[in-house]
Amino acid sequence: MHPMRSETDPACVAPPTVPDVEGPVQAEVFVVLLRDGSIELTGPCGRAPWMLELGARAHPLEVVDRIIRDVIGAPVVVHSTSWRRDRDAVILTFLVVIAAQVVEAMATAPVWRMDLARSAATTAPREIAHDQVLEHALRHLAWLIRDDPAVRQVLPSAWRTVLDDYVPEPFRTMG
Amino acid sequence: MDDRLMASCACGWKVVGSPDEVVAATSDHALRVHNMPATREQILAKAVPAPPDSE
Repeated sequence: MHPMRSETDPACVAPPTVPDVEGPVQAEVFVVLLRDGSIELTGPCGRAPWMLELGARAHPLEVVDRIIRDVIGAPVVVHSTSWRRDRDAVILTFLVVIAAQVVEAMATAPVWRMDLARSAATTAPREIAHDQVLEHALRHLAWLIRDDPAVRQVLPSAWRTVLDDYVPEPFRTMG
Repeated sequence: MDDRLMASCACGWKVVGSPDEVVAATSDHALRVHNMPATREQILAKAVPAPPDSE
């Protein structure tokens, strides 16, 4: 008898053989944590986008919060940071902050800085890379930690320090 | 004849086992991790024979 084996292999490059996430509105989730003064990316998909299917009835934020709690653990911040058209759907991007101790054995990867995908004044960017979406999300978080009392209250001060690098220069003088 | 199957997800997750095991594990993964209900028929239609080196 052959035992069943299941695993997550971030290096897997074989074509997926599970039905893909579908629907007119989907969520893309970036789970980040702070460890030793650096931001790290984690989640069940490693560095690959973590996609969620969103139904017609449930609130997207509630779906993301529920899945995060079930798969990883209690989040500190869940915030929608952008949207874009991709995968024949509207993709809602969510940035999720979790405490480092919640991650346990889940693999993490460093977060690199990226230039943003720039649009024209009235048109969307022609291409948006996954890492550019994350860069935008972290810049959004850098704004939130200054502007949103709810976010500022729950994020440790170390987050503010590391997010200083994500704030445009004119903003920094407002800190 | 070895009827073991393999299913893999775009996120890197994969499973190898009997058809019933693959369906159960894949259904759980799809719903729990991706909020995506998947039927037995959908899963078996996408699953592939397990490679010989997956024992």
